[in-house]
Amino acid sequence: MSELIGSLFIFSGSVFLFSAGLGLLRMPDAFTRIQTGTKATTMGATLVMIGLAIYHPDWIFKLLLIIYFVYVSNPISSHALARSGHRLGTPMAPGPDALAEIDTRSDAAGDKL
Amino acid sequence: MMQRVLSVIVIGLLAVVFTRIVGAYVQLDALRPLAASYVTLSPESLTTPNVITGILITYRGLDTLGEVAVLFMVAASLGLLLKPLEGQPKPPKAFQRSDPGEIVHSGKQVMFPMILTFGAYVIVNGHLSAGGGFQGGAIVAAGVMLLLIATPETRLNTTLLSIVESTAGILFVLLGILGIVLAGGFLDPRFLPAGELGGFISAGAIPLISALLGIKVGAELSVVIDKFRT
Amino acid sequence: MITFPVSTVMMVTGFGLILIGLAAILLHRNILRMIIGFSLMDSGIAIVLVSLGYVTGGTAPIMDADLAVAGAAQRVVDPIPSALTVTAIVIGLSVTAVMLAYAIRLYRSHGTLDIEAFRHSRA
Repeated sequence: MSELIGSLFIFSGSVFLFSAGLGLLRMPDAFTRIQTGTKATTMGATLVMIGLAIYHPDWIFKLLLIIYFVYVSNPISSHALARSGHRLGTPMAPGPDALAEIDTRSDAAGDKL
Repeated sequence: MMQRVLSVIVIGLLAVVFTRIVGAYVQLDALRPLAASYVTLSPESLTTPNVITGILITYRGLDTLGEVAVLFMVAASLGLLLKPLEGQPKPPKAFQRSDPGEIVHSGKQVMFPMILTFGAYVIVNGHLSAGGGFQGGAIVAAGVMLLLIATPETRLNTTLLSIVESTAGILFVLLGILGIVLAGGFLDPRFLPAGELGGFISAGAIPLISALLGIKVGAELSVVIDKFRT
Repeated sequence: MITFPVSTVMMVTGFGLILIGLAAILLHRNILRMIIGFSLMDSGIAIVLVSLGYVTGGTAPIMDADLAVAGAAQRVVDPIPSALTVTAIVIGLSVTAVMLAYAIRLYRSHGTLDIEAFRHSRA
């Protein structure tokens, strides 16, 4: 019985990971792609780890450590990428820029965009 | 246009070659004789449960020596290639070192000790379970890269790191020569006492060699990463 | 019951990665994309090397609590290609570092990353 529940969790995790890949292909610009990649892969990895923990109950401590490390590292790295992309003036899809007054976007020569 | 057509033809021909290789491949059913001898000799005469570390450090020790030499050459040539020249224009303002923000800084304070601890664990565990010198050294260098990204005003002491790297390399070769003098051949680790199988202090000189490799690779890759900062 | 052909699937994946990397090297004009193609080829070769050592029903060649020492030679996969792959990955990393340094120097001297600009040497 625990095998069935564990397999269901792993399957739903793989659905999230597949949607991350699909979003990388279909999103309009770099910032939305970063957001899709981070959120969906973190959720997918967490669900796969929970499914494995139900399948093998004696691995729970190590899997919780791995989930903690994924939560600490994945959002921070995507934040660093997106912030530096905004500063360098990566082309943005049309819409309001909420960071415009805090962080000036400039192109490669240093002029304000 | 002609160049693209030629490229596609080359890739197609290579795909044909690869398909013939995969078609003629039959999955192994038993180990080849050399591999079987390594697997049985490694826990008996070297007292290492990890066969791959035994192969890398003892049975194919000269390959590891060549790899250490290649890493050293690459670090030296990168120092030559990336030297800042006088008379070059300064990089534009957007590319200069800018602070990435408070979130990355706080994340670095949580993750950097974890990464260093994990790297040291992988280096020390080389002879017992999966791990080894090269793998742990690469993890330590990744932690240093996180430090350089999060606080761009850190100045790494590259002189000290170069001295540490060269000393580790010299000690590695000295241990190999000790193997010639005291035991069977180059990098033979049997001159230190082999404890019991699976104990922390076991397998002769393999933990020492593994630790030296880890220190050398970690210091070297940190210096290489530091040179890439403009 | 058909046993799943693990090593054949891995070999096909590895050879596919090598072909994709080669296509990236030959068909792009930006130097950084060619360097990514070289990195893909390194990963593909590592996968092919490891898959050559697979023995049917074998496990990792590390003798801990799950794998007894006696009779281990019948139940482990070939350790030699895995050891050679460790060396190959480190060498691939070093070559990528040197290529990136060359890309930086070329950008500093020519101002662009397009290889068409490097085609004619300055007299």
